[in-house]
Amino acid sequence: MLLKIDISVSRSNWQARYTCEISGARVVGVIGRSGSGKSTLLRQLAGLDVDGQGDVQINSTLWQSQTIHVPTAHRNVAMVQQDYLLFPHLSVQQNLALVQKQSALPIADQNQIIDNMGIASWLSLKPGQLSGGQQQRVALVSAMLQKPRLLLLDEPLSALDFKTRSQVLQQLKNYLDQYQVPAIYVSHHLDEISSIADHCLLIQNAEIVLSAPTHEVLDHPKLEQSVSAEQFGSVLPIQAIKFDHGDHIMQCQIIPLADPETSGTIEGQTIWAPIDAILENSQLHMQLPAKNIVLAHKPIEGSSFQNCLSGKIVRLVQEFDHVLVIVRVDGHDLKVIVSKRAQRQLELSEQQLVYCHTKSVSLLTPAIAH
Amino acid sequence: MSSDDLSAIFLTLKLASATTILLLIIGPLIAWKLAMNRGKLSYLVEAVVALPLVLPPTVLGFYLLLLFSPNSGPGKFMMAIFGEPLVFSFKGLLIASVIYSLPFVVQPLQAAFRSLDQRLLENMDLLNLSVFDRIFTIIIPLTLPSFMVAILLAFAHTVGEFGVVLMIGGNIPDETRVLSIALFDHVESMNYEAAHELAFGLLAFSLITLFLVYGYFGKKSHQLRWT
Repeated sequence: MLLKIDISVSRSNWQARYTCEISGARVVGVIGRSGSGKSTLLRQLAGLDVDGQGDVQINSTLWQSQTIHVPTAHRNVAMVQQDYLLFPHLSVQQNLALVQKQSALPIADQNQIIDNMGIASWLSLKPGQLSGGQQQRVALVSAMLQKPRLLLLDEPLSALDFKTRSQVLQQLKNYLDQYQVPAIYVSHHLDEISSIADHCLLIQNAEIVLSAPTHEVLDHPKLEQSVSAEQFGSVLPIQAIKFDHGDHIMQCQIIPLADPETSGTIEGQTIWAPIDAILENSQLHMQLPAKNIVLAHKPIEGSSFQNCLSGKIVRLVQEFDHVLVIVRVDGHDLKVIVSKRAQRQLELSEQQLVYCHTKSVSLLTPAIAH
Repeated sequence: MSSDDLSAIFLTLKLASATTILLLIIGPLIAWKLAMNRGKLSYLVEAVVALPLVLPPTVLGFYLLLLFSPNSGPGKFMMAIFGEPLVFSFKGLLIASVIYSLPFVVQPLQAAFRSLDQRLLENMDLLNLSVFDRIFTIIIPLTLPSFMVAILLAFAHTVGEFGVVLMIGGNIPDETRVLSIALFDHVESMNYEAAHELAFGLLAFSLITLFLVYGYFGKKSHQLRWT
């Protein structure tokens, strides 16, 4: 999709300005702290708030300009919000029927979506008889059935438990792929963003401070202000080399970045990652959460750590309750968070050679070629 | 019970039913506008609608009498539309009753519309619902208890009106002689037994209506539960 946004919103003691131009992206992730203005952006795009000044253009359609403000009903956007809104007096089926009777999707596809999302057995129930997570799934299905021009998702999985979340996320991904529906996805969970979005907006203080492909945003220093230390991490470009069918794991190699200090080509180190066999031979991005990396002076033997990367400490950043260690691995800066006590005991210092151990690596959504 | 009294009862029910039906068309429209727009003009409209609550019915009746009089400009205009003078006629009585009972429909509905979750209204936009679905699938079902309250109050209030009828309706059997007027007649002619029949009937009817309004529908409209 092509999405051009240039809106400013002025309220009594709050101002926002959203400017970006995204072309080619399919799912745009939006990252920002609570209250940073993510939902306001979505409401402006939906046309629900009319106090924004400026332009909004999607593909070749102008939704808003100095003279135009296309009303919400005519934008054909669907929105799933944190507080999953269903009409309380109608059954799930009746709620969906309101959307279904004007849906562009064939009936068979509609039923397929209802089945895939696992809500078929609740059709006769009222929203009040469902749990929060179940209501949120129904709201998501309702939005999917609409087959909108733009799907606006504001923490759409916030009420789901961890296991259901990944299943629903997978279904949502399949749906967006199959029907080519562009989406904007707001979430506090970087793992959701990284697995579904190919482009990201970083919002700080009601302003878009970064608009770039997901792997760039997730590796950007500005991100640290917006996400919790648990989620903060680094992104490494890798080449998937060979899938091990016995262990169901992919052997990958870091694509090295030429390091000015060690001129000449270096062979990238090996990473084992649980990714799909069909991705063999492709170039991907992996995310390594800074908190899940264990540093050691020597490779740890006899442990379940599958990945051990060697690198040199280039920088130590003292934070209030932890130390951010930047380790240069094959030319890339890997961020590692250790406690102050650990830093003291390991006597970590710059230029030191260390071994980074990690179990958890996750794959980022491959960027769509454009 | 005399046939005169029976015809007065019948006329009263007819007037109250017709008034309620008309109010169910006009009332929700005014209530919706008032609930959604909070401009200065809406406060004025709200005040005008609420006037019958505080004015002596005779004041309203007096001005309507002047307005409906075939000698006045508006009266002539209305006579051209309705083909007969509105004073001392059922049609005149109906118009007066609609105005007189308007706040009893507008106020509960306005409160109900205002308490609708703003996000549900936004959802209707996002889903691009038709006007029919908005009204009959969403808004009316969600505010049904308040509609019931409005219907009961409008009906009961019309049954109980006296001052306005006396001013512009007079006392014409089968045309404007409603229950309250018939009761007044009986008392004037010292026919207390007949007066008792009508008075007790009205008392019982009003009590049951208000019991339903406060006890059943009122409770429902305050604590909406759909589980």
